[in-house]
Amino acid sequence: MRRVILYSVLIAGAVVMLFPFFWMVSSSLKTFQEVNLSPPTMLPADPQWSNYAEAWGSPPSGFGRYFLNSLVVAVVGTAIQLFTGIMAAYAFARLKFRFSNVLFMLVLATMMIPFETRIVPNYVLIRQIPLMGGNDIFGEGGAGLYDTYAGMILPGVASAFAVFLLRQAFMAVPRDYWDALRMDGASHWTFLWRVLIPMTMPAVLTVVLFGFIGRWNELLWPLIATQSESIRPVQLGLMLFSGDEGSLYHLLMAATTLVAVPGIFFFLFVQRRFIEGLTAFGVKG
Amino acid sequence: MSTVSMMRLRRKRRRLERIWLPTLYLAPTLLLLWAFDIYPIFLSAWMSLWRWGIKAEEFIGLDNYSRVFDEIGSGPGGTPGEVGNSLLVTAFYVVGTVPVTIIIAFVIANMLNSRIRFLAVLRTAYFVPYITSTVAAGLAFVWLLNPQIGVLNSALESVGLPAQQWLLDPEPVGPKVLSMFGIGWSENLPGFLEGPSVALVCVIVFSVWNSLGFAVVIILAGLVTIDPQVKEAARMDGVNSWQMATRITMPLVSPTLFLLLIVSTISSFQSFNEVYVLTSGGGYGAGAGSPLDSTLTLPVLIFRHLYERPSSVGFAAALSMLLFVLVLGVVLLQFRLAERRVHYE
Repeated sequence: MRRVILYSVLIAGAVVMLFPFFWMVSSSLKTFQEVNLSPPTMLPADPQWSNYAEAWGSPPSGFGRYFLNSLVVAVVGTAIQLFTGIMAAYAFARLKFRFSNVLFMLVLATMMIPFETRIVPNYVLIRQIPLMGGNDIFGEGGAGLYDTYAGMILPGVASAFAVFLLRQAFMAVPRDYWDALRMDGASHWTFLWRVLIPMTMPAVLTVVLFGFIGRWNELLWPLIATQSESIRPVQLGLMLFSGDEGSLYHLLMAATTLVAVPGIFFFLFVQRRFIEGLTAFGVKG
Repeated sequence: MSTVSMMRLRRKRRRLERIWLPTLYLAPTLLLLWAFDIYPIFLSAWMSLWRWGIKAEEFIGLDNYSRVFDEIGSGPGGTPGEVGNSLLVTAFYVVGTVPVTIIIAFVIANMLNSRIRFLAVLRTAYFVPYITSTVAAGLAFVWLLNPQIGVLNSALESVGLPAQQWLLDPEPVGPKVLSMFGIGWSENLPGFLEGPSVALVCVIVFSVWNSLGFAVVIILAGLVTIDPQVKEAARMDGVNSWQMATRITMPLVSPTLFLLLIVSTISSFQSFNEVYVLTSGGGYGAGAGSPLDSTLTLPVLIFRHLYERPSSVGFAAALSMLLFVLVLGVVLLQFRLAERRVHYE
């Protein structure tokens, strides 16, 4: 009896969680007439796969451009985040130097700064990067990194969370490995990339996944930092689409599905690693 | 070269290494964090003292802050100003999302932790909304809640209940709920007791739905570290499920719950995307915060000043400082109040 209740509650909950997605896909395959029916049909009478082609081509430059922009921002941003994160985590985990505890605390403290507090100054800051976008050496005269990929990527690319996660993983590797390699005259650099990274792959992958999905889903910063549709990411493309074609719900849901599905598939593909990484390195009290 | 001088050379190299190596490894992260996370706080504080459009225009001291306080204070008829309203909306939003999410997640995580089949499938079901972009998930919700042809209203009508305006309804829920039971609302009560608008409640429900999976996974991570023997022993002593949850499990995962509380509070205060997608009415968010500003959280107000009123960037900076102080204050308060109840092993 207890198990029946348990399963019913859990399954009912799962249905509530997934219904919006079911409805999104179902609506995306209906005709304009069917999607406006009241009461609605559960499943499309005759699936209109052409809705997807129509939605894909609807924005002036097509959704392809937006997807490409998102890919650039997510891949480059994640790569920089991973590289800088690994270097810093190694220093905090393995190198002895003065003020290392103070600096580590300072890095962690940046997690407390609300995103919106940084948005206003960063909006001003990226316009004033010296020698970029027509700026002189004092950062005056041009647009700086405003409306560029670099401007979208740089703020927030260094992640205290990534540093913390990787440091924990690095510290869990016994010191003996390093001592043994040191005898053979290996450098820190070799040890880090040849030994430590392969041994802490789950943590590295967790950083990659969080970084990628975080970047892919970003909305506010690209909206503030750009003005050209030609470099804006897919989330903004979808917002614009919802304004232009908002009443054509079958097309809007087709576009929404196109944007949502890659992320969901990506996640399903790697979810075991993802959740295990979160479980193992995220929090353990 | 003699052995002595070689050793001296090596020692010198070691000492140098101790300085330049950490510097080299840390430099990229520290420079980036300084440039785009720490320095901006100071820049924001500095900007808030200026009338600032595209660039600094005029030093005006604390004028932006006195404007903040003006707009908190009462307007005509005792109604709060734009800033006061957004503080109230933010408070409703944070109180409506954080505790509710954590409580539901705690229940679900406990259920998922009791040796069940299809654990991976169920866990994934709860996690998918979190992984989906807020724009996509939000637009799916806007469609569900469409007042004319949305599926939720169709469901209500099919069981004989009246259709609702959902995201378009600026009416507060307090009087609405009471009137369902035939109880009137006294005009003498202070305005905030009427509660959030129907539209804001919809945004809150969306946010809980959206972030539940994250909380479930984090709590699950804490639950699996509990030694099963502890629970077994308690069960032997005749502890019932309620006592088990509140007296045994809760204290044992309290460090996890506390961390989750802090993280959720910080992210709830800065929620922008949820409101933006659900209430802008499409396009680049001209309507964000509608209807009648009843979903206008502080971050959305900052966005409005930055995006639609380019001449008030200095004022937006003052508002960001307010948000910063607010988040810091609430988190410190949580540390003081809750930490005594957290059991570290």
